[in-house]
Amino acid sequence: MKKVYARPAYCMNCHLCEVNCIVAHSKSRNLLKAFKKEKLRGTARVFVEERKPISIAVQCRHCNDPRCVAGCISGAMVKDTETGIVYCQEEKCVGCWTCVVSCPYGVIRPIEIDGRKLPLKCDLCKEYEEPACVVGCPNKALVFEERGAEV
Amino acid sequence: MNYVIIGNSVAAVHAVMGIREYDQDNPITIISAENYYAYGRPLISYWLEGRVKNKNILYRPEEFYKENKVQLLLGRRAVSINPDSKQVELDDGNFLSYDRLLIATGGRPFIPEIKGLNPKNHFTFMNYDDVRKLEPVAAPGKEAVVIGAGPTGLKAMESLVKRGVRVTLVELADRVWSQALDAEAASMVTSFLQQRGVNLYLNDTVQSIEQKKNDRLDIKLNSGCELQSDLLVLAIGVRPNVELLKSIPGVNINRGVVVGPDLNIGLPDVYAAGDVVADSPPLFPHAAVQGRIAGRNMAGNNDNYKPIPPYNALGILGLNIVSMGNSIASDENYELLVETEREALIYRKLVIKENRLVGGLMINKIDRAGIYHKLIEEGADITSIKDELLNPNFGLLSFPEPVWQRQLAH
Repeated sequence: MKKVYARPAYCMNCHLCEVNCIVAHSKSRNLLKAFKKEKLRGTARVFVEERKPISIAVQCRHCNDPRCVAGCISGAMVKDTETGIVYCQEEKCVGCWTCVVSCPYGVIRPIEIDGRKLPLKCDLCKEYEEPACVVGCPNKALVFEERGAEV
Repeated sequence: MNYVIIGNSVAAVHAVMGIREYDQDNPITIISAENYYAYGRPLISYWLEGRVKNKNILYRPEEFYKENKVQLLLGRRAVSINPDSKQVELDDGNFLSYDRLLIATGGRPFIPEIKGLNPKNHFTFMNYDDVRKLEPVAAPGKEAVVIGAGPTGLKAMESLVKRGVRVTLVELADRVWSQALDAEAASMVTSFLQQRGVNLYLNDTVQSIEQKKNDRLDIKLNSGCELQSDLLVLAIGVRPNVELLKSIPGVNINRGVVVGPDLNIGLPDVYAAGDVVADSPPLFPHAAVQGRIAGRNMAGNNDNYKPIPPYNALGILGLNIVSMGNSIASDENYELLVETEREALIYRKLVIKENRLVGGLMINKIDRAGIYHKLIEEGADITSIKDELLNPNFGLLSFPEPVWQRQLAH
């Protein structure tokens, strides 16, 4: 399946992937509204790790045998059998955080939005043609491609 | 080819998915003692709280069975297995033939001998029917005694508190959730609960129960304390449902049923997964993973189950607790990395033995906990990253470059 891959040599630690992720997952799909009205600051599903001089954007690897899906007590976390995308049906999630402990990459983030706990994870922008982090990356440090090797 | 699955919870659902990865056509029959489509068993406390409605308690959509060509026998029990004729006898007298059989019968609450205890004067906290029975009586202002302060008892307590019930927790060990919490963490959780009005009796358990004329219960504890209560919940532990397998030659029972690495139970074409399995923690993720592997093997694959260290994520009244592996270790045989902010109710502890991470315990700061669990599971040498483990920026880049490059390439 096509996944997002990070290319550390090209990453500038600009965090635009996080910004674009937030906007893509907002209701308004507008940067200012997403941050100031919908208060979505800090809700990116991709995040940049930095250890100077290296930086990389990390996100869900959409595993073949996803531990987060196995661990999900509500059945909210699923892997789409057609697309391979692992995503959380947020209306079903109870915020128990088992997925957070299950993820070997540590890329499911426990957060609270308006008092509601939600695990934030990359859904490969399944409603778009290409993930917003990839589209908006100014230096092609993120690519969306098929590489064959699977977890 | 006929697949039969006894049980209809998480292991069964994942077994169906495992079978269907390799065999899309042959019929699967599920025998379900409970009268419901598979539901998220741990969701019963959320249901009792009112946070999860009937619709969302289902673990998979109703169509799951039809789409996967599963015939679901609801409200039916298997009463015996004949491995020679490869048949399962049902409680309605019918027989089902199988080519591959999965035992996914799970467990049931352990009920000790207690003077005065009868099925009508106590509740258990294991399945949907338990909370449906509790719901009408767990009214605001009522008093409840919950015996057992493990994960089940704590979740029962939480949902009752949220319904406005006044709860007393009674725990035989010297601290709450003694299998996962060390003394420090347990003391933090205890004061948190007491501040929220929960009564707690430690080193104690119920000795006898007497039903009063006004329907209240007199509950005597070993210590001599007497509690009055409107309802009693027993959450002491679970026992594997192995009755079907007893006295079948070739099958070994050690509390649960003993399985090989491929989850076969020692009989041709018979597998087991979930809480019924011996020497495996009765935990949700483990049941799911085992179910998937057993399903694949039933459909002719040859997959092995590698034991996963126990782990648990538990939210109680807003406190988020995560335990992994040996989370309680505190003696000199282990090296401990600890960060405590008692005021903020934050606790992070990692347990190291011979340069390997063997356990972890986190309260209210659980970011990236999955990486720790993976390290515990792999038993990797952590010498080079030890100083980084509790660093706020701990992540993939804390590992040597070849490691994170490999991770990113997945």
